[in-house]
Amino acid sequence: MNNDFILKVDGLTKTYANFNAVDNLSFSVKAGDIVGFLGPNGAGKSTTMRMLTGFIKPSSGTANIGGFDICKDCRQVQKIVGYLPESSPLYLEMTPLTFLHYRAKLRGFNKQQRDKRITELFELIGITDHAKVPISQLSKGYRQRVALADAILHRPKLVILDEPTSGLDPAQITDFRNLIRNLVPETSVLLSTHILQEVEAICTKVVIIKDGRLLVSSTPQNLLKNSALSEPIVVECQNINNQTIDALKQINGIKSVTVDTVQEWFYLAIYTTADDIRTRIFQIITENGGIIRELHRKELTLENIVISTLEGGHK
Amino acid sequence: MRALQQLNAMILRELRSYFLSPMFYIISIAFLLMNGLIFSVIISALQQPDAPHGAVMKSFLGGNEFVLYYIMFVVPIITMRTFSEEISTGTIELLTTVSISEKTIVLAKYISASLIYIILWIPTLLYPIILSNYTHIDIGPIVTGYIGLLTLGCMFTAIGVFFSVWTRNQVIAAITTIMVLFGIFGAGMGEYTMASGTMREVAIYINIWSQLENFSQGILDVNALIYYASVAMLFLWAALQRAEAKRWK
Repeated sequence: MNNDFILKVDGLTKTYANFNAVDNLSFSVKAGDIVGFLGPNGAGKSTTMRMLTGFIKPSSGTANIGGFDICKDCRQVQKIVGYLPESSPLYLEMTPLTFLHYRAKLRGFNKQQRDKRITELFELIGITDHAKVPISQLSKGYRQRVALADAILHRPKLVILDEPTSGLDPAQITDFRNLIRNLVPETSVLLSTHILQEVEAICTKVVIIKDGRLLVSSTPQNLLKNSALSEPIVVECQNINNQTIDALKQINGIKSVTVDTVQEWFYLAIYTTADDIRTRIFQIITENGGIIRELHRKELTLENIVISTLEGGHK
Repeated sequence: MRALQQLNAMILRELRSYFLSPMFYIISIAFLLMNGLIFSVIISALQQPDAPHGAVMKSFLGGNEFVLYYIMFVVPIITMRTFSEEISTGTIELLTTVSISEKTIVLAKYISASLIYIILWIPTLLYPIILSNYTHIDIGPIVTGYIGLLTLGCMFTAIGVFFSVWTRNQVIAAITTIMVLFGIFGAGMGEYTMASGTMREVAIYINIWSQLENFSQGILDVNALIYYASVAMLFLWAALQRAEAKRWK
């Protein structure tokens, strides 16, 4: 086991009656990484997370977390893994204080350790004022914080968060992301999400799965760099004709030009493979008598790439 | 050591959760109302001068089948939530991922549900105390009578816990338990409907009604205690198997 890796998933498979929820999945997470685990609904994200936390057992394959095998040393793995299940289930009749004390007892803390750690956590997640309010009366945002506090209670080496920000408002999401960001490097993070901005905002690695199979495992930067998609150059102009378009197509590195019209304005989307050729495009259009209102390079977002990756499916 | 701490923590949480749920108070009130009603009916029925001493408690703890009927309803209502609630709210995922063994979980659920059942009976201790002001009370049969009711209830609890492991639906857990309890009760009735044969012997052995009657007469029926303990262990073992197997699902 390489010490650099906190998590190594190796051919993980979960078979239900007639389909593979997770199919021969392999990827790894370096210590200190925040990994965004992406995929459409039903892709097998939750199932994978449940296997990693020992809630369910894999049908075949395995994973190694911090040097322990999830099949052979499940209890050891659970000691160094924190988990926030989907929709953050909690005992609603308890207060954050009694809940965390209970959880700390289950985790083997003594009274002194509990008091110290829980005070610390309350400050960290900013819930001190609500420590004695029944969880049933707390807002979704606070509940989510309590669930996160529970997940990191025992200072796990890896924390697994299943859609931690779903149902939160934008301000809460920002808060929550900061909390997650502050967990590293002591704790590595594997979080599933539907929100691509989340990945762009905090993740150092992206793992995309579909139908239980791995599509991509990469850093967001590499994903942007190596994407088959290029950034289209968008031009809004008037007075152009077929001749102009043909001239544009002659430029070295132009892949395609699509034309759209809205009233008297033309909208050109020019895909290129080569370097920046915006000046050349400008030149050609104006030389052919065109009038340019706007010319800009549309930035390629992770969202475009992920969507095109998911649409592309497996190779 | 750690398992013991976990067991302890779980039982405390379970008890606290029962005490915070309206269901517990509804059951308690219904339970006490039923008991009070039966108790007063027994007293008025036995108000002849020649009634034997202590007969009231004998009738109360085992001489009437009503007591059996309603613990066959009360116990499933206590046990239906043990696992089903955690499965339906998803907290089972929190519980099973803290490095805790299924054994500890099943045992904690069982012990706390049994304790709740026992707690329900505590107020009825007032009855013999009240009676002792008016008549001579024979302590022996009262003690054995309670032993019978409590141990039988603990057996029922194990059955209830077993069915709760199977489903996220508390109503289904309760109904299946009630059906099985009535099945056991009904099978015991074979003692009266069959003339002879092995089946009748079996029916005699599992006849919980006559066992309760024996206990209330002051007989410490060891066979019955062994029977209750075996059935409880069997169902707890089965619940454990099911809980462990669930991780393979």
